[in-house]
Amino acid sequence: MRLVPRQDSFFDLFDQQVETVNKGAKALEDMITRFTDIEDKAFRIKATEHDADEIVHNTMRKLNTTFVTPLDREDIHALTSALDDIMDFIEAAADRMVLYEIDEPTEAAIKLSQILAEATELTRGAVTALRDMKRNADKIREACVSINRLENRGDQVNRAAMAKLFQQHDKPMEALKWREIYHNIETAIDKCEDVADILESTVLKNA
Amino acid sequence: MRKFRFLPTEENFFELFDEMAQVLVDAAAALNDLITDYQDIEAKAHVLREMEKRADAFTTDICTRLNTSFVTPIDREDIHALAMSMDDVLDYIEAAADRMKLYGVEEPRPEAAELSASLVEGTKIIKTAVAELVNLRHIENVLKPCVEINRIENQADEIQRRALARLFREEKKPLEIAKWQEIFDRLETATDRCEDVADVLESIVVRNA
Repeated sequence: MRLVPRQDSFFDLFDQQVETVNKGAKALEDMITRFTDIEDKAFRIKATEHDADEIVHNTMRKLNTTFVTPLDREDIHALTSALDDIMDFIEAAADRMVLYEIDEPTEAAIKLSQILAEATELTRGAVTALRDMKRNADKIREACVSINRLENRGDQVNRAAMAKLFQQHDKPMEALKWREIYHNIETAIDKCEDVADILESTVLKNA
Repeated sequence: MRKFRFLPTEENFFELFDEMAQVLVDAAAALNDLITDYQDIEAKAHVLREMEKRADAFTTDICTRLNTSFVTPIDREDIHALAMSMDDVLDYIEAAADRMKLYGVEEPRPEAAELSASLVEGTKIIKTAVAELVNLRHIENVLKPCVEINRIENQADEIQRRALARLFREEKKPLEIAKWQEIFDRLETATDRCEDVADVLESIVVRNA
């Protein structure tokens, strides 16, 4: 019997949050590659973003009421904020697809969404490994290196895509729409790199 | 009689932050005025440029004092992060005004005024929260305004969304769309930067509580 309700640990909350982020990135990839039920899928990504917000809120509340924390307070705060940023840009990208009434995806959008999904999968692996940081130090570091590599690839894809967009003079409106969508996905990938940076420094300090 | 102090005074940093917060409040008000009373744009944008320089000077001043202070009331990196994040808000406020001038906007779209009103609100709340930093015993007085700032950012997100939908629906000239996409982005990013200030404030009080 439990006398007090079970409380999620910081690691439980990180796991929940990174699961949610990964789910959001996969949903965006699915939305862009299969390109069916766009509005419905965007709506669900929005709901996922709300779930993620709720987890950030719980983490912050726990941080404010916990005396001894398993990681430095500033690292917990930074990690939950950076994961939240990824989710925000995923949601913004999905939202703009609907808002701009995009009727078919571009190759670059598909590629970027795949890179993002891969990056969040690696992020998920690295964040869930934090719980046993000492044993997983190498695994976390390797994941961080791979995330950095993906971020570089995202950059390249984005740049090539922008060059192509602005060479097509016949559809300026489409170019302006896609520019913003690419920017959102690319920034979500950048934010995965921010998470990786935080993880690397946390591991350095604690493992 | 004045008490002898062995250690240098600590409250200087808080005073600097209060003053810097006031610059943010003034700049948001100036931007709101530029947008809602759209005339003398050159002069108004110039005033904002001057405010941005003042904020830069504050940031430099804070960093200089940081290098020469033996003790600081809160962690050095926090002081630095707070100054930088406040400076970022101003950069985007100034950039929004600058783009309107630069692109020769003849008449601001109504959503720009909604966003500048959000910034007026957001910077005022930042000022309240910053003023409470000096008393870290009542962290709620800092945390509650931070929640408010988050709410304002969400609201600005929605305004931008609505603004872009209407822009693409009604505007037929691609260049006008491109200009306004950028102006709306600067305005909305300024509210994102307000949220970053709130994040720094939260992290400071959480750690020092």
